[in-house]
Amino acid sequence: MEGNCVKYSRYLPPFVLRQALILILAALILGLAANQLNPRGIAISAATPGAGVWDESETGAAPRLISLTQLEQLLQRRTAVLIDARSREEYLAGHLPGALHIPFEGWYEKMEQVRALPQDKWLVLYCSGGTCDLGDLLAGELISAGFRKVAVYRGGIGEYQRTGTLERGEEARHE
Amino acid sequence: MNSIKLPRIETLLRLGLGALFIFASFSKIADPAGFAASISNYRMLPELLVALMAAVLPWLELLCGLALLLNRWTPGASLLIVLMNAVFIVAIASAMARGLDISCGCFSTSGAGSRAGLARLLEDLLFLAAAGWLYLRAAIGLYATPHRPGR
Repeated sequence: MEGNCVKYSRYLPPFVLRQALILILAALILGLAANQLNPRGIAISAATPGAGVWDESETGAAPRLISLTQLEQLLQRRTAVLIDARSREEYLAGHLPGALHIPFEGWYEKMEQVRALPQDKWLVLYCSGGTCDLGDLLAGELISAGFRKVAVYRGGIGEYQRTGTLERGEEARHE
Repeated sequence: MNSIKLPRIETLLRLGLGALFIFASFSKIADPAGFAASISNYRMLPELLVALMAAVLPWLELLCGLALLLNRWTPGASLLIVLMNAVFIVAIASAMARGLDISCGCFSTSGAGSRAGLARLLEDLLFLAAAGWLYLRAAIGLYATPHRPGR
């Protein structure tokens, strides 16, 4: 028994374990504190943005970020309106199934369409993914316009088309 | 002929790994929600753990990176880097086995960042080997010689 302890402590010395534990504790404290102070921080709960569960009761003045998993759930539940924030040419070349087209460039020219968007459904913005921020920018405009259920799918076209099929052509009409 | 000096290789590995982990932590610390989305895409963890990991893991990467760079608590930091890389390898291999074509979430929180695939798996294996070597030298090597913890 004692021999085993000596053998283990040879490969995992107690002072190393102590250092590792202190580093973990420091990361835990710093991580939770920084998350609280970060305006883009997340709620540490089972309904975290980006997590698998989509808590539709959580709305706010900042857009929710959603993952591919959540996007798939939303598409199944039909509780969201997808909005493509890219240019018309890009939209026509391929967009997420059922997505409306409201380009960030000149979105105010589509004010009638914006006013007709439902307040009781999640408006999910996206663009090409990667460094594209048109979805985030349009999300900010929609929140300024009074919408509270606004989300951004940052994976965008780049991520989605690796698992799903894009729709081509003219704009879909939302019910 | 012994032209390679082991301590020099160790120093290079330590500084390289340290800088790498510090760099990897930045975008995740700035965008915890984006990192949470990346973790969630692996579909391995319950929601609460996804959130906790997204908030804490980047800081653990940062602290371990700083520890290696400053050569303070190298044994503990290299042990944690070995463990983190082991977790990353399991996650990427599992995603590949399930046919998930997702963003790795390794150095960027962008959804269209580098894919969780073979290249990343091999990269993480290299990092694991480097951290493992550092651990063997710093923790066990030190322990074999007269050593007083805390110094």
